[in-house]
Amino acid sequence: MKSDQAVWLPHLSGKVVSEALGHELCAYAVALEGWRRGLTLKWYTKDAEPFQNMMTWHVDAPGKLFSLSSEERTHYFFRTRGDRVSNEAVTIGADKERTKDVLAKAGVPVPEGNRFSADVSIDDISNEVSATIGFPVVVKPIDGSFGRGVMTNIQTIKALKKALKYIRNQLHFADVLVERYVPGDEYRFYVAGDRVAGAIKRIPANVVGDGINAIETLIASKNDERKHNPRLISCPIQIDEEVRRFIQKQGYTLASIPEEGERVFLREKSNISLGGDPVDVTDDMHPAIKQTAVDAVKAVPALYHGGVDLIIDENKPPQNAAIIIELNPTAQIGSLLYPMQGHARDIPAAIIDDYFPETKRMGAEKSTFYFGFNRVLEPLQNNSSIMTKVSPVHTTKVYAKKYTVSGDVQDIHYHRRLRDQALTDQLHGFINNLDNGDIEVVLAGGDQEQLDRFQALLMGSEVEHINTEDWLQPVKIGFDIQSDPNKITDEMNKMKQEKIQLEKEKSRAEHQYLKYQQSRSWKLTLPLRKVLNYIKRR
Amino acid sequence: MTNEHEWLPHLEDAIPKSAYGKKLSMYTIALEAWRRGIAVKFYRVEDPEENKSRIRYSLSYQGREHKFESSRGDLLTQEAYDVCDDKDLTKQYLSKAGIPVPEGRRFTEDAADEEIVDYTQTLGDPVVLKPISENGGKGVFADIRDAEDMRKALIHVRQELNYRDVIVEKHVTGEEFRIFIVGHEIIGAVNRTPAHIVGDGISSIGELIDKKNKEKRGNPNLFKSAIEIDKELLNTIQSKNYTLNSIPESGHRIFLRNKSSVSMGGDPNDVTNRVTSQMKDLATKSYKSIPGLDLCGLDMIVDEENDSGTIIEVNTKPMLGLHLFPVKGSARDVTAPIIDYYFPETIDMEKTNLYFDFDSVLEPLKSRSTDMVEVTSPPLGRLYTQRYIVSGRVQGVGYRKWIRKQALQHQLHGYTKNKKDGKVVVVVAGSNESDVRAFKDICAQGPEKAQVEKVKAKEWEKPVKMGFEIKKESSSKKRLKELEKQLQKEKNDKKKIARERSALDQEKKATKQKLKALEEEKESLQQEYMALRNSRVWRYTRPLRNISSMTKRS
Repeated sequence: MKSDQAVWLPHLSGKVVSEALGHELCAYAVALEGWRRGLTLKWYTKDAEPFQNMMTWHVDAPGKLFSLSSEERTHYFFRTRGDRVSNEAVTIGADKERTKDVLAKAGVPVPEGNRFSADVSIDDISNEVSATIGFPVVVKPIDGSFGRGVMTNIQTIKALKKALKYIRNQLHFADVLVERYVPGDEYRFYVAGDRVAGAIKRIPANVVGDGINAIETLIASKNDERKHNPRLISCPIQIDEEVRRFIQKQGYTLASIPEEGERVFLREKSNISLGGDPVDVTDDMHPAIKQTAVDAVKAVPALYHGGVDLIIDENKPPQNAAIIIELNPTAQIGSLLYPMQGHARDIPAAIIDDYFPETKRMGAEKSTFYFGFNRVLEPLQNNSSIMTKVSPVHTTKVYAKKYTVSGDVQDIHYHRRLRDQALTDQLHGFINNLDNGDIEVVLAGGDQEQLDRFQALLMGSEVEHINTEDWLQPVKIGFDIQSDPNKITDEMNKMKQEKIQLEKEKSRAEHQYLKYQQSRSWKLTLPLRKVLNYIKRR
Repeated sequence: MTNEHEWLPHLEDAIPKSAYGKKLSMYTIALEAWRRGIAVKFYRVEDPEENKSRIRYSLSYQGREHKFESSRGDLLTQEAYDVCDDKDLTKQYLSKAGIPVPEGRRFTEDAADEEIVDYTQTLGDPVVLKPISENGGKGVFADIRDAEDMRKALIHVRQELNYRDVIVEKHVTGEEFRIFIVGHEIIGAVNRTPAHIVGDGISSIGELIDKKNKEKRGNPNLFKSAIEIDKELLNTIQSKNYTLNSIPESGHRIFLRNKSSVSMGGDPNDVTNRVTSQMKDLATKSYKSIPGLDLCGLDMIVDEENDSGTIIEVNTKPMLGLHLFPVKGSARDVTAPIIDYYFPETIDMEKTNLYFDFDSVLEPLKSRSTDMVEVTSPPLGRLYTQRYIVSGRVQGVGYRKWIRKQALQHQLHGYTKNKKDGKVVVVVAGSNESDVRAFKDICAQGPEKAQVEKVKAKEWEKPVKMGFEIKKESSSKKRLKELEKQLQKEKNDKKKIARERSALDQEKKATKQKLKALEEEKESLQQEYMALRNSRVWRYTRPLRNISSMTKRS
């Protein structure tokens, strides 16, 4: 959702990243920043030589591995993580316990806690925890991610034992971590170049009442809004047992209608992937808290940049309000680029500043061109190539115009002729057919005069009128015309993806429906319903 | 005609349509290198002079890189290039080494046309007029026989075509051979016969030209060199007392033009076996006389009677297709010796018989989204290939999609396509013979909906494209129509998907509503239940309920 309070970066509009939603979003944003500054950008498949010694995962599909080069040097990247980050630092980040050890040694505050391996029994763990850490506690599996199996605010030995049984027997994680429960809100910072480049607060999944709609409807409309956010599109609020139980505790069902302005939380966990809201707080953070995050990154040798997850207790003085709970060397930055409230923070720029400080100045005056991700990745996707280099745009200043041309102008040959000329002149843009028979021609290039010359070419015998205006949005390189097979294929792929998403949602709803019918409460009330019917009939 | 030539088996069916014509030398050299495990990159360079972008490629092996433009590699020195680019300079180098060249001289731009005409008289006819530097026979006038023709030709070349510097030389009569040399070795030779047809006693000249053009379109090198029916051609046949409607006798050959160049519809024919050792010596000596040559195409007018020849030109960027896809005679493998010369350490490398997907490499370069693409390296060594023909209920049941998945899982390359008779062809290639053979069982299994009756196996020698492809049935004949059909299909598919999507959306909403209704029902039940519990009826019916449960138990 882009609510009125949110300000995103104009050069990373939803349109610019529309081909890179999901797991490729972060890689695309960082790569694009480098490319716009004039660095050479190449994309690779996982078989490419430079990545054989870099720790990477889920890279079967291309779009996560790339390199940026200046004339002097080349840096390789896996998503947001560049090659300055050592594999050792990545290993430390992946292991919460080691992270804690390293941070604690450096004097960075971390939650007190203990790690228990498979051979320690549940009873022994419980006894030791109550003797050393004390309640309330948080329990988590050591290799878990995305908040799976993390249970917070456990108050009693009994609840602890139940939680441990669940993690070990149901989720099959043998090694667990028990920590003191730290009250406060959860934040994600991004640190690069020894400073906090951005900070968001993660607010657990929630809806705000309007006095009319039921919680379930509010969730559906919130999910619709989340679809317009490039980061949140892949993370709808899912109605599951956890949500039902959580609102039940507050005395609600899905059918309850909250009052206008009333915020109803749907989960305890604040993960964005579980429906949490990212809210920008960068400017509100006390320097002392920011320093804690910077210290955390500095504490790990050869980490340099990455995501820092913190809990901040507002009731404490800033100097010791923050506790570091996790480090992410390969952090997702989408929530910092597309917050639901506040200003987007240009994390890609901070990362590129760090790797190519000499281009810092260009950061401000870079072009707003972008490249078609699908087209660049295509030869990698069908495995015919292992590397592609994105065409550079040799200009920082962009002149762009939109011409609305009326007349008998929707002839494909006319469009093809214009495209060929545009490509020859190294102009970028597109032609769109409008429903009223006119066409929209958008053209962008580095040379004002060339643009003017092209305007003359637009004139043809069938052209009646041309209306010219400035075009301020980013322009994709190349030149697309409608009825271009490429473009139709692109659109179709997009629709296919949406279809898959819908299928998923549908089967999820059906599944819920089935589960509900088979659920205990429903079964339990069966005799009751029968009796009622019986009585009614009498 | 089709049986008059013998092409190289390793290039058969290995040339994608996008490599036909101008890109043929580039593709075939890159392919030869790629098959040896040499890394191949294609890249785009801007040509500011013509405001166009051009595709170049580089080959690299163990840290050593060579850049190429078509058939011209970077081992050709600038000096050698300059010598061959200037036809007069070429002649000077050749003469110095004692090689026969046509008598003649160069005229710079300040020479008046009349001065050139005067000189022509001293040479005696016939003469040749050509620009000092040109490509592909443009602006070359051979067999000029009088001053008037010379004047016309000069106006055309110097003013209309704007080649001010020209050469006038004696026209040496005889057959012209193109001899291909790389690293001192003569690899092959072709001659070029002017555009012609051979009568069959039934078809008219017009029909025979059409037929010939159809054949040319199937030739990767001559694809774009159809015989065009223009004024010159009509004049030629008229001078022989024919029209387009005349029906020549069977076996009677009619030349349609005087010029033999391939771009004018001429045919290249392999004549390697007609190059005598005398001629070979002459060719090798010529090659040596210009220092810094890597490879070249030598144009020699041969004098078979005296077993000798005259060199008229040295080309540094020769068309390889002349030798790879001759109209008559045996193809000569001119690409392997080029790679041998550039990468001698790969001479003994066992080559794969795969070829790469040139289209998908070119596509992003053409749309200008990328300016460099590195081709995925193939598995090294020759692959074993089999062709299976599957019969039964195998079309319209998702058979090919399923086969593709299986093939990719087993790391096999190849393709599958529907046959018109209802059968499906599956071609698979892999380094392990038993894997390829075992794939027959997989073909026999097929997806759930298929019913396979029989699988016939056949050895298959043709190269296979890397990866696994589902081939469209239609022939390459009407590519444009096919593309348009495809476009329409995509549009329809798009609509279909949009419909499916909205149907799904509705279904989803319906399910959600059902769910909601269910929950509401539950809630109202619970309320009723609570109300009931507290009601008197409940209390009063208790004995009754107890009794009924007792009777059930008993």
